[in-house]
Amino acid sequence: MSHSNTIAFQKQFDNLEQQRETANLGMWVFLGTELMFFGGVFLAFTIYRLMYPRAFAEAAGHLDLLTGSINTFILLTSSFLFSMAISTFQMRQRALTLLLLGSATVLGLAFLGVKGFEYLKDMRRGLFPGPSFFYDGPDRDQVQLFFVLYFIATGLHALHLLIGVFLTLVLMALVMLSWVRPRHELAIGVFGLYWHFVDLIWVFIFSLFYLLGGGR
Amino acid sequence: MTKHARPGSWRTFVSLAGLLGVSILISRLMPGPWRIALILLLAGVQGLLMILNFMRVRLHGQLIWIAAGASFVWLGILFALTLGDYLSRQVVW
Repeated sequence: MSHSNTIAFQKQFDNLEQQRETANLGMWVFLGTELMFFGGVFLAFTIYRLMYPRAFAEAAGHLDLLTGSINTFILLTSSFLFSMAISTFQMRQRALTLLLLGSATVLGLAFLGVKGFEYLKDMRRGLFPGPSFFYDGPDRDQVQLFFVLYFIATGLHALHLLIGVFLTLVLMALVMLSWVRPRHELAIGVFGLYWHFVDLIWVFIFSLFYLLGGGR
Repeated sequence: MTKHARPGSWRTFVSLAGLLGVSILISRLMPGPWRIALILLLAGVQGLLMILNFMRVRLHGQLIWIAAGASFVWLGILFALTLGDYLSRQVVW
């Protein structure tokens, strides 16, 4: 029996290949809507960055570049582990797959922990927008606008990552219970697209908010 | 056709980490307007590497290429039309 015959495909598909492409297509269409969602935030940031270059560069200098860099590396590593997990799952190495997925999840949680720590630090310095916003330099309103966009972009990203962590835990439980087996190979592969996409969005958040201002 | 082969995950990861390091160095050390262009270019390359290798688009057929590419085309249209409007306004910011 060939390998492909052992992998389940539903009766509405002609073959396994068609099922794979359909599942991936569905996820890519969803990711397209997600890209437009984050794209709106990036566009708003770009416009205001062009309108207030000095204020935005000054505001970005108040972000912690070291923390942001560590977090970016954490997410890149988690993406790598998730990619490996997809491969090991296809190679029917269940224990290794669980270990890799678990490690990716731990890194996702580590990212959220570091981000939470960074938020706390920002808030203590009065950088959270609102009545308690504190900034004694020039262009106070524009600097506050930067932090409005910063908290929206990073907050939405954190929410997406949190959903990703939760779904990965569910996926791990299903694999552990053998409800998801290698013959259901699409389950991890398609969800992996979401995980990588969330990491991809972070790369652009990091580049736009942390790097373009020449943070410290 | 979709394949099961692992598309160079190690190399992709090392490349991504290297590009991250270069981006940080540029943001700290390089002055002038080229800094912004380079950082955005490097972010784009990182994104491309993730899409092609981690998200395995390069192992898929044309349908997935089109679906993935269309998202970015629409995003490009959004940026082009909006920035075209803002940048052509005769106002002093």
